[in-house]
Formats: sequence, structure tokens, C-alpha cells
Amino acid sequence: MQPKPKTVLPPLWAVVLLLISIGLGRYLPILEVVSPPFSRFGFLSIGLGTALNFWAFVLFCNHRTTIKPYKEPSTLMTTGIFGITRNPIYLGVVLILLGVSIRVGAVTSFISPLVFFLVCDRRFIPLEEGIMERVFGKAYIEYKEKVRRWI
Amino acid sequence: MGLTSAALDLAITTVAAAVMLIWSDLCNRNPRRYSLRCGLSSYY
Repeated sequence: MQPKPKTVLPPLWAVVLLLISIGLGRYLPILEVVSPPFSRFGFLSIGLGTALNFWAFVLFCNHRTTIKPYKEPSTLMTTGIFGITRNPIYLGVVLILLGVSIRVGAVTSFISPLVFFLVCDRRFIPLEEGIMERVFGKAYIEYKEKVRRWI
Repeated sequence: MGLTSAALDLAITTVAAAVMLIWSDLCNRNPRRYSLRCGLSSYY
């Protein structure tokens, strides 16, 4: 089912979940599962996620195709980072949220990357895939067979 | 050490938030107006 245009878009989900992750780690730090020096790996995850996002942003800007989940894209992007994952922005944000959770260390903060992954995987990605299949047809189905949804 | 780590955490959180703001800005913009600077252009 296609959500209404007034639906909460993924960036807002991401910002809210980022704040929740930090807040839960600070005010409800149940069970520390990652502690120093291992929490430094969080930086790696955040850095990788940020790089993935910027790479995808550059491609969206260069191709001038919409980044909005419920709009029809004008271009099927299959090169660059889109040759490795079909959803580099979602993957990048999951990595950023995961990195923040690793930095925070508390098990409660890991709720955020999990929720974001589920929201994207169950809500936004199926919606986008339906639109892409309708717009690009066989070309998109072939791309789907070659490149995975996440990694 | 503690201060450096806190400053680094703040910097990283700022970067993460910036990524999401740029993404949000792109979502609210006509693709014909996308540019490499567009994500930040509405903030200055």
C-alpha cells in the first residue's frame, strides 16, 4: 500500500532514532555491551555510513532524479555504489545509527538501528521497489537480480 | 583523553546529523534543483 505524501519520511525517522539512541544510552543505559577500547569501532561504522551517504547524494545530484521514496524516479542508477547495494542511503544510515550505538555501548541504544532497518525493509523499500518495477520494468528486475537489497 | 573522546563524539554526532539534514533537504527539493551544495544551501 502506498503511504500518503504526508507520511513521515526516512530522514525524520533517522534523526529521531539518532536522538533516541543517544538519549537511551545516557538516561537508560541498561547493560553495557560495548566498552572501551571496542567502542572505538563505532567511529569506523559512522565513517563508512557517512561515506556511503555522500557517495549516493552525489549520484542523485548528478542524475537529477528524485530521492523521495514515493515519487517516480527519472533515472535507474546502477553504477557506483548502486552496483554494490540497491539502497546505499538506508544502509549508510543504519551504519551511522549502529556506530552511534556502539559508541554509546548500552544495549538499549541498539534499538535505533534495528527499528530503522525494519522500517526501511518493511515499509519504504517495498514501496520504492514497486514504483521502480512499474517505471523501469525489465531493466529494474534484471538489476534486482544482480544487486542485493542491502549488501 | 576523556575530553578528546567527548569532543570526537560531538563531532561525529554533528556529522551524522548533517547527513540526515542534507538527506531531508534533498527530499524536499525538486530534483532539477539538486546540486552538490543544495543540501546545505538552505542553511546559510
